[in-house]
Amino acid sequence: MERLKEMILKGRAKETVEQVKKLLDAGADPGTMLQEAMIPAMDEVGDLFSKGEYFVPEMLVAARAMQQGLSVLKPRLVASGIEPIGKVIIGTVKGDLHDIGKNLVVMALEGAGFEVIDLGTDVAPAKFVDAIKEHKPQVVGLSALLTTTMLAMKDTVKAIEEAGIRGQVKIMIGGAPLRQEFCDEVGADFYGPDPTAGRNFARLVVTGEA
Amino acid sequence: MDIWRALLKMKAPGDRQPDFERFRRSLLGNEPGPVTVGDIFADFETVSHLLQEPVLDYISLAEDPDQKITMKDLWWGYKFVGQTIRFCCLAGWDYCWSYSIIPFKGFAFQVTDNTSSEVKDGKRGWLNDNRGPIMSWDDFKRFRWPRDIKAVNAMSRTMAKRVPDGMKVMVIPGGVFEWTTWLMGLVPFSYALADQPDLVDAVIEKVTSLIAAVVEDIMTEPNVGGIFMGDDLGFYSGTFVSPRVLREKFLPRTRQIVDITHKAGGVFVLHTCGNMYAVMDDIIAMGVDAKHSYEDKIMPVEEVHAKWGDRIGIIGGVDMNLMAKGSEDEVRARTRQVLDLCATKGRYVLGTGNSVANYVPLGNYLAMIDEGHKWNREHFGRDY
Repeated sequence: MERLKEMILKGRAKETVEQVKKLLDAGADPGTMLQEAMIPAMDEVGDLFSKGEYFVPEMLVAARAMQQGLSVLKPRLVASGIEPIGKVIIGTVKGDLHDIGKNLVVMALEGAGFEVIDLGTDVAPAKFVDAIKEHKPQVVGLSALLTTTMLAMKDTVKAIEEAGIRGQVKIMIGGAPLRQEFCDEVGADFYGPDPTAGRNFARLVVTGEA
Repeated sequence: MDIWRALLKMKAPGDRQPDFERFRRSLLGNEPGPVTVGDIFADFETVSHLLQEPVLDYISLAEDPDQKITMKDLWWGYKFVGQTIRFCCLAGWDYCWSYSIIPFKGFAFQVTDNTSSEVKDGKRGWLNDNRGPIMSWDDFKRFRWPRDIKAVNAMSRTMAKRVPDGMKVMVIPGGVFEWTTWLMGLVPFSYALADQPDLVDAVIEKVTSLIAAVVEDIMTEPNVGGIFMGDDLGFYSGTFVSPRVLREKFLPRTRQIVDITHKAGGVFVLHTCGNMYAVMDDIIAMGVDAKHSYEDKIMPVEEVHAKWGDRIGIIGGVDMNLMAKGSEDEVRARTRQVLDLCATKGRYVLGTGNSVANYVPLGNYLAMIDEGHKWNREHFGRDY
């Protein structure tokens, strides 16, 4: 298990897949592999990013290793009845095409065991509303990079309120121009300065623990 | 005698005579004095608003190198040069910016509506981080690298022929990190650092050689005062790549460009967004004369000035969020605060936190400049 965790941490995708297969062949429990090696590995990746020891490339290669390992593990997880710990819908708001920050949050959430529905970029408020009604997530994540597009977060929160579904979700926001004051102003529940903070908030919402 | 200079030279509009040496002294000297104003560039819409006349969207032409340039485009380009000079003179800059953009082909641009209320019917293009024209060795070998350096510098040379006496041109050639990650796509580049580091090195070398050729060529032109390199290296919490990778692969190449600029007698300004705390000492050690681009949330200009202001010039720092969304009174108050904290000891030039962008109300930009004039008169009994 330690080697599996280490390979994800170091972003070694090929070795991660090999180790997953080796452990499965040896009879390891898929749920244990996920909970004791893979999720802690991605948790540590996120923590290292927050501390400024890992950067965008390290996050991306670690997430790639995780995703490739997970693709081998997933059928066994499904067969074992292991489900995601929660569901998050995420998107970059209307008028904004930036996605790298959002994608890092997606990786952190998937690494933590969430099912993530990524709506992409330039997402209209109505599309968020439709997605919430269809997928019934616990958490909605809104991303924006620009001073001019962050205002679309206000429109999105308002649309969710007017659709009568605000009480069903917790809304977290993130992006370069944002601060806590803006989060309060638009009526969101959480402002996260980095992917780890977003992951911890989502986990807190569904499990009661960060 | 330079016949073209004699024929094309403009007279500075307005009352103020630009003086590039005043800008140089502001960056390099520690002698406090009336603060000057400058920035990396202004968007063409802002130039148009100030001049009250149509202005060519030059960047969209440069960003679409497959577009066929017509005689009408060349005329508009020539006119754009004159309009840029007039904008800079009227705004009180001692230099004007010019683009020497290497026409790399194949960038994956995405265009969306410009969401600012200042630009109601415009579009803004953004690079797709997930793709680039060079993602493999096959791509690298097939890529048609630009060759005509003289053509790249045509606009900058024309600008240098036209600037009024005393004014010089600061040339924007693009940066080593940006060109590399745009050519490879930031995400594929990130994977390539692990999977194909030799490909990354090859792209960096090629990009550096092209930028060096551009800078070497344009610095031979009289009235080119230096290089204003835009090379965004970071974001909110840090640099995009680790300081170790920057120090190994990118900063030494940028240093080559700094050295070429200095050898030709120019000043080198680095515009780089994001959290640069980890590499500011490296940037200073490279010989960069001044840094531009500061964000109140990431690297407030007064903090940088307090820590490094005796070792590097500081340009700008009035935050873009405020410039875009604040009232004129709020802009004036913050401008005054920045000047009180940064400008009393010299090595500071007043400007925005990023650029004179089209989503910044012109009134706010002019309020910032005007507050600078007032501050100068109060503190030094005169303006610049």
